[in-house]
Amino acid sequence: MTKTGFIWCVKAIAAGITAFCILALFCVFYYNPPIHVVSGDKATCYKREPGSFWARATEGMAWGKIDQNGYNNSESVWETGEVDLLMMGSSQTEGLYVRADQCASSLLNGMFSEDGRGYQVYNIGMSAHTVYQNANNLQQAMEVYQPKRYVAIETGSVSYDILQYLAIEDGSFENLTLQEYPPVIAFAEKIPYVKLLYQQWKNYRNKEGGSEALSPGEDVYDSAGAAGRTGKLLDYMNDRVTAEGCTLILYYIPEVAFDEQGNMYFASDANTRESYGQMCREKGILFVDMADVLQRAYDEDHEVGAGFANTTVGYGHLNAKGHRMLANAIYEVIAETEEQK
Amino acid sequence: MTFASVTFLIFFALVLLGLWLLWYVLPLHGDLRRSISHVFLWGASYLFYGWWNLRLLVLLLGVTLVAFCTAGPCEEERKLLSRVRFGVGVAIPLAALGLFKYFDFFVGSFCQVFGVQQSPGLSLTLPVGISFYTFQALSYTIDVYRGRIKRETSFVRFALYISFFPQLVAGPIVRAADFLPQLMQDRKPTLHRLETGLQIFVFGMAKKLVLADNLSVFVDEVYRTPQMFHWTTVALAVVSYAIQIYMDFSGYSDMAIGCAHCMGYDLNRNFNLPYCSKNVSEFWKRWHISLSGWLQQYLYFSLGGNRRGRVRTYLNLMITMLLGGLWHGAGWTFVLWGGLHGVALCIHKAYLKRTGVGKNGAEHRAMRILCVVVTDLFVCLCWVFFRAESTTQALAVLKQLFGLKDGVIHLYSWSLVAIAVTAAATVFAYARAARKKTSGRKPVEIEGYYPVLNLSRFWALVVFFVAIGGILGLAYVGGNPFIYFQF
Repeated sequence: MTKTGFIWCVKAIAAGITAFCILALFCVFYYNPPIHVVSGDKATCYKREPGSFWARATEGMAWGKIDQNGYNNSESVWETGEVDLLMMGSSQTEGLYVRADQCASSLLNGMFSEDGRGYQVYNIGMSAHTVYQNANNLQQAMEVYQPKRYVAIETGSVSYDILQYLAIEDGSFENLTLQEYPPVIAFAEKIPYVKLLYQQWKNYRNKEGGSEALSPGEDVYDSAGAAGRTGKLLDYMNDRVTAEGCTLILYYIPEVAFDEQGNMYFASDANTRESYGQMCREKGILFVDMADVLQRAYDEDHEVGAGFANTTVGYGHLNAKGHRMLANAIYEVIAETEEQK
Repeated sequence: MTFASVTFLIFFALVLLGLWLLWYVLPLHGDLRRSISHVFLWGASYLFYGWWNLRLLVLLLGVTLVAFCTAGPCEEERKLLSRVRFGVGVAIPLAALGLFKYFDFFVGSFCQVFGVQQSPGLSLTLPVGISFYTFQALSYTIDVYRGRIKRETSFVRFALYISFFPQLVAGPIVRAADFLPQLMQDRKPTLHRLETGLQIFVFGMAKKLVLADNLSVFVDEVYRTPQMFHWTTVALAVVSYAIQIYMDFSGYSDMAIGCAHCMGYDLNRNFNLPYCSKNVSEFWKRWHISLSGWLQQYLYFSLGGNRRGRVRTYLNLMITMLLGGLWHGAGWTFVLWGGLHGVALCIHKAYLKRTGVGKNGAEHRAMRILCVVVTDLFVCLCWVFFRAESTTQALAVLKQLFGLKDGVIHLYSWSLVAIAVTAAATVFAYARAARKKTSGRKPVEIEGYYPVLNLSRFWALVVFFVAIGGILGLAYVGGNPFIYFQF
């Protein structure tokens, strides 16, 4: 190699490192989801790195700071150390796709503060935590956070799988686990740009595998037995919540899709949701049907509660409007119940 | 194997390595080295094309053989034979194009018009790039017949001209007169060419993967269900498509030009800031330049151009644009799109004739800007027919737009980014043109450019690497084929 060639190679390596640093810096604000760490208290299977700054601009555009427990809450909530309403759910409830102050839990805190009730809402929503996973973690979450009045659990379905329920009941349910990486990869995982590339690669792989479109009628009761099986999981959760003197709230957040005529639809149908709601009422569970709320907002005001300015309409997580709708719906159901009492 | 795939990048790296060995390592004699490099590139091009479907190679080879065997000048002493040979040379590639691309369309349309029961059609797979290499073969046959160029004696060189992989599947349409002489020279990859070519390639890749593909998400959604969206959102989608198709196709052309440049060959520019055109005539001098040049040279002029009176000029223009529309795809939406442009060209021509204003009539700056805006609006609306899958869909989009209908408001962020990038690039191009301006009277002629850096400098390398890293991070990975592949 000539001297000029050698100098160019050194320059190129230095330039490569500089470029990487620039991209990493850019990604701190563009795509910087907080990493998962082991959750010692088992209220959730894992949590976020406490105190870490996060930003996401790939689905919506949001940023915030994880609280000292590893969840997405504004710090002022935890200062009191009291929880009146504990929210459990998946990434929808976690709300890493909207600004922290636009998240349903933050909005509820504001509403309860304004109406004088002063209830403290604490959100332990965590990505990939389904209703089954949250049912399995429920007992532990109740012990750790000791909610005084309500426990609100997100459900992505209104018809439950009996096998999952049986696994929860006999203790054989497989909890979500964090993958253990070698130290180098664990370090790389902390670099936002590397995370972005990994996400891109995952998306590329998913594209190759093909994704299934949402089909209406997937999430319905095909027999009376199906409703009965769903009821068993409701009882399981309700028993644990009422034992601590709280009321269980279940809020159904469906995936949103649109047909060729532009009509909004979900995997569940109105009859199944109505049966589910009826079952909840009979058991003393408060039910919030976000499908109904989303449908109404779309039909009456052309507003879509899911999807963002950089995704297709309705695709993915709840947006700021969706969180506002969710907060309003939960607030209304609580206010109505308390008025009746 | 598309340009924006890992397979292609590996393939291209291997081709470059092969050429490098051939030109700089293997101890070969000058002419032999050149000939082997042609065979090597020809083989690589067939591998590239055969990657889609091996059977398609037969058609490519067939068109190549027909053009090579039938091409010949018009000889006075054997005029009939020359004409027959020329007729065969033109008819066979056109027949292949018609059979594969238009047979089902014409049969279907005929059955529909005359109420005949729909025939099942041939349902042949449309060979990728057939419209491009057929036109290249035709241009060669016509040019040789008219005596503009000499007949190529080497089949390998001719086959390489037809199948040269950077421009094989989506252009630019290269004329024999531009490419064949390059094959007579020692064209080889050099560090300087690599430096420039790779940057042009990356530039095109950014346009395609980051801007065009991300825009496609929004555009596809709005065109699928236009009735769902507020008219402002539909308007944004219409503008977004105009940018998407430009970024997509010019991105592909840039990648083709970059690839060829790396290997030592030069392809002509295919786009020159088309949305800065002051009228539709100028638009067609800046948009898909190789196709509009081809249509002008081999169709419009062959029909008589503007030499046979005013009515015939307009008729020729309309025929050219309607066929140009049809070239893009076998569908009435494309014919309509071509027809609308044809009408606009006729009106513009008539206006020039009537007012006596020069071609760049709008001399005043404000007037020039107004002309650009009006031209862009017209072009954007025409794209509605081009993008829509049917006239019904196109009309639904226009109904939503001009009916000022209510619906979901979706301010897609990538559209805003793309508009900002396009505007910034335009302003930069104007500033660049203004700097170059020497004569005070002549209006500034805006020209496209490639932002090529000197990669021996540290910060230029940083920018280059950031660009590559940015593409990897921001590219839409959901997969979206180049729009012009279907043509």
